[in-house]
Amino acid sequence: MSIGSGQTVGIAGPVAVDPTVDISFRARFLRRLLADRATIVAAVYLVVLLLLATIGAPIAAALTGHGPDRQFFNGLNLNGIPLSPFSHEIGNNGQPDPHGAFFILGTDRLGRDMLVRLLYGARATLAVGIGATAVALVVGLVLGMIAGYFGGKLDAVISRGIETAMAFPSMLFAIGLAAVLGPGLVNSIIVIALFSWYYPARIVRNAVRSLRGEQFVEAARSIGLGHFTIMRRHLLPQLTAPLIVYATGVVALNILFEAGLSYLGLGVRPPTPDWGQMIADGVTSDLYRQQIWVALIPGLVLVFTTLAFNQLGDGLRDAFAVRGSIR
Amino acid sequence: MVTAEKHRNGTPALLSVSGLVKEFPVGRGLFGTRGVVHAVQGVSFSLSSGETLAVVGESGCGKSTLARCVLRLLVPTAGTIMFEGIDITDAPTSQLRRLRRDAAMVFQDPFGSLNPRLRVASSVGEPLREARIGSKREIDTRVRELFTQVGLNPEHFSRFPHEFSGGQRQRIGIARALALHPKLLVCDEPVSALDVSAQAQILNLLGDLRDELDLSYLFITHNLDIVRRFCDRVLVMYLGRVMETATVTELFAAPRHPYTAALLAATPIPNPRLMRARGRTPLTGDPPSPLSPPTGCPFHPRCPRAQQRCRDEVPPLTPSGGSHSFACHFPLEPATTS
Repeated sequence: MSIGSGQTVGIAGPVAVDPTVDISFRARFLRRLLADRATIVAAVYLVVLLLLATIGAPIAAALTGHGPDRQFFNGLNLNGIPLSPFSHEIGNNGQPDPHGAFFILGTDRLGRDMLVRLLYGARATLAVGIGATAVALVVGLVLGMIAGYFGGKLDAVISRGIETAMAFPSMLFAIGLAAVLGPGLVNSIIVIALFSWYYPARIVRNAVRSLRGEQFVEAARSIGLGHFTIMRRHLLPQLTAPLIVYATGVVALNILFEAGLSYLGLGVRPPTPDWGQMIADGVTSDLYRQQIWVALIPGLVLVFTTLAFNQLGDGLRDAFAVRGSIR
Repeated sequence: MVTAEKHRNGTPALLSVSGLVKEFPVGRGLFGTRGVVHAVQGVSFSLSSGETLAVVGESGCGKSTLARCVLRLLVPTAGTIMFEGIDITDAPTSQLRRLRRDAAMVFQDPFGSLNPRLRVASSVGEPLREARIGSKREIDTRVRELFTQVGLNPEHFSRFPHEFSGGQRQRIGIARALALHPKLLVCDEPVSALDVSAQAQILNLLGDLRDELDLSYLFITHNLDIVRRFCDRVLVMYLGRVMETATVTELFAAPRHPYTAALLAATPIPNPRLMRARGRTPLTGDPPSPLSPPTGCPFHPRCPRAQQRCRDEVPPLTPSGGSHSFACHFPLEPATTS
């Protein structure tokens, strides 16, 4: 066991490692994810929805020639009831006119094309749902990291802040705040983010607190890494999996939140289409009794979207093998 | 304590610690502090270049805290730490760059000390990247060199820590510690988490590296066999204080402090006949809580030789010729070997 002139030291040569073990986290993650069919369906649905909202909406508008806000005079029947899916506009004789405009998903209360509005509405709904979640995650991540990493007084201040924010009844307070700020896309994002940053903050804080005591963090310090580098290189990568899982679940909640605000007229400003508003349109004034599709179509799409986000979150959690419940 | 402590041959000691105190407040909350853990209470020693100093003691005696203070992972409450004649006790983080380069740590837990999400080459190369030494390719070359140096296959470069055994991971930890050509390695129980055969390999590796790279070690352990085989001098700690310090030969031949004698008597001998012949002077009870250390000599509640004076007066660490010092009012005779 003497060193001699060579550089190699040590008794044991490199031990052969089973090559099948040699797969990265990413490979294992992908393999687990692809085996989960429900999650694949959910992911495909969401990707299609995103594509429809971004490029599908103007294409649909161009193909049908119906703008999202265009009101068709003959888009209501003689009793003023919106048309059912797959119907032509009403002719002068009171009967559907086979040469007139065709509405795949029927029309709404004001004789507008439901399909086009639904696709444009996805934009507002998804933008607010995802945007508010992104803002909440960034705020929660930064505050949670600071609190968990530095501990002490900073942690005390931030943790008390989190608890204070949690103590507010969110929907009630959000309604008040939205009323003060007024409707609009950015305002909706602000209001919703204000009521969803504290859960990620708390998750990150607790995760960082336990990671902080790990020896590899101490090892990083002994090498001379700064606090910021340690957080970015050694802590953040360990948080991405639970945060992505958490975020997909919160997007679902925030989409519902946004729909709720819009339903109450506090979301996106009309006539910009939005799913919550469309549901409200169909439900108020008892319209659904005569024409159920007006409320049912946006309602179903909202349900499917929320379900898809939840399923995606569950699937990602299994694929990442994130331990325990984080919600 | 500002002047550098001169060592035997006139050059300043590589590391010199004097009167080091580290206290941790506990239960700090809204209503003030409930108590203070006296982890290290006035420890002094020095380590010259090329030397291996063992720090031994039961768990909780403050040896790991001492190691972390030396590397300034913890800021000492009082005392002075000089590294190559430069006072680093209160140096701000920005001025610790030289210490971070010249002194590195090998950790106890080979599973916890490597980030599971980073490829091992990335962990080993991290000190190089942080010190901004060389291009990406130069760092790669150096990492491969380090892998060879610690007996790892450089082809396993881009694997993750979970693909290695405990001993291999400890080699990776050592490679990381060696990255910047340090002069001092602080080893905190580097082999106690490994099985016996891996222990021997890692110790051999550390010994070979010592000869090859002229390293000094501050070697934290509770295993006296390792001390006897591997180290030059020993510092015996109990409840945050130094009980006895001597060269390995002197200490094992004739311990003067009753605590050292008890520790030596507790090491098993792998020969039943010798073990029986030795007889036993068992130490009973546990070390007192460092939250409320006893008055006088910290060892007196468990010491077979304790008298009233031991309860009243802290025995100072007094030299008894050569490098042998001990802190005891009623030491064992120089000749009484256990």
